[in-house]
Amino acid sequence: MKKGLIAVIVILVIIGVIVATVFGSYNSLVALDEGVNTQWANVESKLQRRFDLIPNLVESVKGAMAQEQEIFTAIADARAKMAGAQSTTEKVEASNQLEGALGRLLVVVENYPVLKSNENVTALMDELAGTENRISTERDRYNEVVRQYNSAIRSFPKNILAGMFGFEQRPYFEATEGAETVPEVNFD
Amino acid sequence: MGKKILPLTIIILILFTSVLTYGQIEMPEPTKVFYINDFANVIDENVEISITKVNLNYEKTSEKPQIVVATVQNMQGLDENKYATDLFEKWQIGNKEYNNGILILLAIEERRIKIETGYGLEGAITDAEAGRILDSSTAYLSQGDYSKGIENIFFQIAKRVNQEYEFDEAVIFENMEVEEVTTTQNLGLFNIIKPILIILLLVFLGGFGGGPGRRGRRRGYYIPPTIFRGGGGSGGFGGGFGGGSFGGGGGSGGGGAGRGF
Repeated sequence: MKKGLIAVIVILVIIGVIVATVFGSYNSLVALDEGVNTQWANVESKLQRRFDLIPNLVESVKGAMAQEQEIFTAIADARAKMAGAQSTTEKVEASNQLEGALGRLLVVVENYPVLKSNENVTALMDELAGTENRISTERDRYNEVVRQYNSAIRSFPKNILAGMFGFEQRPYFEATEGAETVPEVNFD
Repeated sequence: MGKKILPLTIIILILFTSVLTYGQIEMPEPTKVFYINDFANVIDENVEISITKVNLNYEKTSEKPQIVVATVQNMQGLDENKYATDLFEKWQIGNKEYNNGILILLAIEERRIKIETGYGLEGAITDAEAGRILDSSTAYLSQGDYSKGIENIFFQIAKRVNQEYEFDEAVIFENMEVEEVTTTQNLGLFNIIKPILIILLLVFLGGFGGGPGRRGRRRGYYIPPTIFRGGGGSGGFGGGFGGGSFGGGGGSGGGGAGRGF
């Protein structure tokens, strides 16, 4: 009788431990998932900031840079693509394209002393540079929370739970190769 | 024998983790004064004192903004955006609630100056505004008058902060007596001593842990977290272990502007 009771208690304790682990793991996955969402929202708000900034900037430099039409076309194309992007992956792709085109613009502006000495243009350029930097900061932070989340759902035993409750891997925001390095401009 | 294994493992673990963190570029610890971190030693003492005074006056306000100056010889291969953001993140400049910190970073070798604004002051000091402030001061910097350049930048920022929170400028910029502003710091020395102190501490505490009974041992290994945080800087270890404890917990998202000079 006594032995039976002990066995029941032991089994109950084991079940209790398992249930507690499952709850704990599930909740930690939810928290991680929510962290990814929050950080992605931060990234998006910075992308939006860049998106809104572009028309002003383009308007103020376009006149003096009539011969750089292709850059403005590239920016307009990338911006349109950004506006139409739905999924995270699409947005990342459009963002990288936009970053490349804007990077080219920033470099080319350096060659126009008239623009560089224009206070309005300098201000817009500062805003753009600051925004690019904010994007890269939030992107790094996003990638870090995604890394934590993705490694959590792939590690045992959380991967079982992740499979059961449909936690899927989240994509990283990978910057394009060479996006950080400013493109070279050759006038020969 | 078994009793000696635990402290040994802890020591090995600590040594390992400190080795691992060296893999990435480690940001310097702030000085005891916190507001002025003249690692490159280019700022005049009177400028250091006036910058500290303004910040001490900010401490008395309810919003408690912080405007921190850091000068470094070089940025260890990082660009000023990354370096400033990482430093800001480590030092947690600004009040936690308002995120109202500002970091002014000067890198001598790279000849770069950067203003990094905390989230809460992005409206008061826009990137364009930060750029204008820098443009008005780069002339001093190119001449090598770093003190004057930094002073100029600092007070222009402070004025914007005063406007933002409607502080009385006369009160913030008043001539208050600051007792003994020590800006010297022994960062290099402390970095060498730190692991030795940790080991000694552990061995010392471990020795206590050898006593009979479980409770005794537990208490023996307990290391008060305050020792590692530097507390108020009044204890024997204060400042040496300190790091980020003076920052108000503020964050930044990479806003601001940078210039070459």
